[in-house]
Amino acid sequence: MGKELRMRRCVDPFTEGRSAWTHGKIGFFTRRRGLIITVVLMLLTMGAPWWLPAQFAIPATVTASTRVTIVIAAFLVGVALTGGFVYLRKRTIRSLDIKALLHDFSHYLRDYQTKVFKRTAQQKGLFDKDKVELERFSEYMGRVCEYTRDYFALMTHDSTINCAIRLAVETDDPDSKGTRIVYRTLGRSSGLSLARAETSEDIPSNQGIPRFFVDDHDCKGVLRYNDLEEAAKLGVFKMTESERRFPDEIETILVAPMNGWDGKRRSMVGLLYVTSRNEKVFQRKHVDCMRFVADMVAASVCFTLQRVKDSGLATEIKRSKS
Amino acid sequence: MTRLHKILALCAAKEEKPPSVEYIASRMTPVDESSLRLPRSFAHTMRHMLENEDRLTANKAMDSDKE
Repeated sequence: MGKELRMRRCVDPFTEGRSAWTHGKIGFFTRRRGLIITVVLMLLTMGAPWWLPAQFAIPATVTASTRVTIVIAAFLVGVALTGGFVYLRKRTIRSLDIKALLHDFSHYLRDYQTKVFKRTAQQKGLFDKDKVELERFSEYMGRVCEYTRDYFALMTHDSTINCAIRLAVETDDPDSKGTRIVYRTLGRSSGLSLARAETSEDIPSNQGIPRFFVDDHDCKGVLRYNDLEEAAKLGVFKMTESERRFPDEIETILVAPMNGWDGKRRSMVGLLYVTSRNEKVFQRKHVDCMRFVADMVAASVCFTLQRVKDSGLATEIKRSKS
Repeated sequence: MTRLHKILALCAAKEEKPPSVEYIASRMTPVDESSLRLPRSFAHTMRHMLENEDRLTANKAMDSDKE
């Protein structure tokens, strides 16, 4: 049992992170059962002078120098207070940094949406030659990845965090002579190699991670990959050329579905990846943070695409191309 | 089993049993795309945006060649 507990599975599916506080060693003591054990241990320890065996008997009185006692007591209290304040300071600064970052993130999304709304309302300069909407969209995806990376770096104290976003794209299917839907990487944070763009592969929607979320989990939950090679061997992860060319770049991954309005109904419009070069970075408590970012970004992306579609510009492009 | 292992076992007792890796793998095998609820309209719009980029990138390359 102990060995099983120490071994980490190559992939873990999570549905929510709210129960994270009940897991692990600290979770054992913070649960009701752990608290009762702590109180019982405290009461037993308080009774030690009465139940300790005679050879360990505690003397009824101890003579100590008042000055030495005060110095030691003051020192211990001082160390405890200083340690507590240093810890509090660290926690407070981190908490405030996260809140400020989340505000900046949502502020950026709102500003981008407002600009899209303004441009599509005016129908002017949206697909102009110099600065097309897709260039703006690519820049936007990059910024979203940067914000997500910074958020998780603060949460995990890991500076090797990175982020990537795959979105659903329709492509031609040479086999069926029709079309199919794939999930293509359209955004990466700056910590990932630029050369990944050359080796990036589309993920078909009918297999792998997309199928797992769409078909089995109603587009909910989060997958955590702890060992990519093992996961690939067991058929739960597809190693691409990017993983082969940059083997040290990603050690562990969190993947979450991005759900939003696809124009006709709610659907999985993309996948959010948060990666790290280090092991054992992501925990159950990060699951809801992942879901939060995925939902927020999905809503923003869907809004943008819907505005482009409603403005009729997507049709115009098709017409001008043909 | 050491005492530490017993404590760890107690800690794990609360955790629900996740689906096996084999089960996850079975839910990742290819299926017919038409049986899935996919964002077809979204993907269609996305395709046109990307094709527009390809077209403009090609135009820019042609312009720079002329210069």
